[in-house]
Amino acid sequence: MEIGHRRLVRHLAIAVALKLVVITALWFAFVQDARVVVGAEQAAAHIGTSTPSPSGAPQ
Amino acid sequence: MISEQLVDLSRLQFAATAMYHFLFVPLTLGMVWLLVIMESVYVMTGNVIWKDMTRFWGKLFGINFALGVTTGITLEFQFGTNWAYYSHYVGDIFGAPLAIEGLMAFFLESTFIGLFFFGWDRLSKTQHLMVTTLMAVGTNLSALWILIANGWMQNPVGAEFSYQTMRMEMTDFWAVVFNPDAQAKFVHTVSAGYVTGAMFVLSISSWYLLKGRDVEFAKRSFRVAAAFGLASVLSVIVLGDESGYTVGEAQQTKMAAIEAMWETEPAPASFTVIAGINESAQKNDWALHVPWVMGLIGTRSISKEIPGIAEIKARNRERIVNGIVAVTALETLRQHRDDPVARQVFEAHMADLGFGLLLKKYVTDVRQATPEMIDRAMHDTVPRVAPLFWSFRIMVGLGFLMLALFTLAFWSTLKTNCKQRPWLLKWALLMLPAPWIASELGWFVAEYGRQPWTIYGVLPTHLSVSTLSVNSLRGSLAGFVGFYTVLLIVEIYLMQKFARQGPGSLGTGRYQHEAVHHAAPAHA
Repeated sequence: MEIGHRRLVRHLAIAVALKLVVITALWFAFVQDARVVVGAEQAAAHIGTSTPSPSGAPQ
Repeated sequence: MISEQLVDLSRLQFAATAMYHFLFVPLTLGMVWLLVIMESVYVMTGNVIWKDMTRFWGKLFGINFALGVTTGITLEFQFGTNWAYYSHYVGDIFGAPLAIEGLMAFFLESTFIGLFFFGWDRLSKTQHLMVTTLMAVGTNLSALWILIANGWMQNPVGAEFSYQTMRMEMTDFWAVVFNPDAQAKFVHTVSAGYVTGAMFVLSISSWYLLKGRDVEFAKRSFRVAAAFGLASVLSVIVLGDESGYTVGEAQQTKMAAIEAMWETEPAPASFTVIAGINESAQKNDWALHVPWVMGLIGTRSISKEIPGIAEIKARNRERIVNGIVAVTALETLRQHRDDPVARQVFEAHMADLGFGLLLKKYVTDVRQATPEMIDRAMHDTVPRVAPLFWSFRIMVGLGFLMLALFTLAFWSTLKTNCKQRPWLLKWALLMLPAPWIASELGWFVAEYGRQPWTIYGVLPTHLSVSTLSVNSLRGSLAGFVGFYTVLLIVEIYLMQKFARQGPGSLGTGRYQHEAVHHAAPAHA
């Protein structure tokens, strides 16, 4: 592998590694705690349709 | 009710990250096939200059791939944070295509990209060509699955809403895969990628020719790019026409907005080349028309009408009123799941459920909707016309400009020496950004034109977003945009650095601008 090619591979390896670090940091900062878990009940509540109460009676 | 600011910020964040991501994608899609062509010629002729071309352009392809890979992952982050309700709604449909795309990208595309770069001394010529070809196939198949998912958002076939799970559930996998919108979108998008790859090689080769350096290398690269670019741009135009036809069939609001067609015209409708759009008066103050063309493009007939915005809105108003019945029946079913009357009513009006949900922007209980609210929801069903009208025309204009350039470039390589036409080389150099601008505008037309829906006719955008805080969204937006901007700067820096070095960066001793001079010069 020639010198120029090795240098490019090194540049790209650093770029990819830095990218993974930044993406991980962004994930920790903005995604980890912001994930919203949605099921049928949450979806129904979100769009404003009533959800059944535990006893089955309308809420 | 969901805050407008939250919806706008979520949309802006997704649009910004998707548009950044798509700066990298089309070059990968196109360059990879140029590498296949160049390496095939090398395998067939044994002429080492073609191997050098494959390796040099492969190096620029590698820079783009390395910087572009994983840029799409922030979009998937957003599905879980900003678009959680949307993700729940479409999870059953999107799961399969996105999982297959991940497998394609990681196991086919990435594996063969590694072998492409590090296999030159380890594989035979034919084996290496096979690797390059499989890398191209893998790259394009990755795009297929993403575009199947996106095509479904434009035309949600093969699925049905379940009131029990409150989501769309797949009823026919193959209908999703062979959705005409998805297929038309796939071939149109990958062809646009091929044009991008061809323009990239054509422009940089033109620069070498203008500088008079590495002429034999540049002339061959120019010729391959001109031929491939001409075939690709013709495909984009023909397949774009097909894409237009599918839009005319499945998304009449988008078609009417793109054409600024306020009223239904007698068939066959004329094509509006340019117009003075008066959005508030819902008319064009002036317009330049070409008779018949729009009718032929949009309906493939001379007798079928294309509905105008006024007619579509009136039709949608009826669907909103029907949708109120569907939402009310859904509410009843959520409370009494075995109520046969509610189920019957819901099934009869289910097709208009999404239209009823449009009212949720204005009122919590849709039964309380006033005629004024219904009118406002009706007006929402058509996106703003001017941005779509002009974006579409700039995209098409750039397409035809690129057609002219590739035609002349191809002609010049057949008839004369392209080096003798410096104006053509300068033009090719100036056109370098054109395919990226056209691609981004194409996506803008596709996505903005689908509004007010995330899933056309099924799920309104304002109900798709999560209830995050505005500050959290602003922070993540700034973080994502900063991240992509740095990547773009690094990409441009590395690209221009290695493009300036030219094939001399291969260190073969056969080209200008290199320290080592020991091998024989490359020529035909």
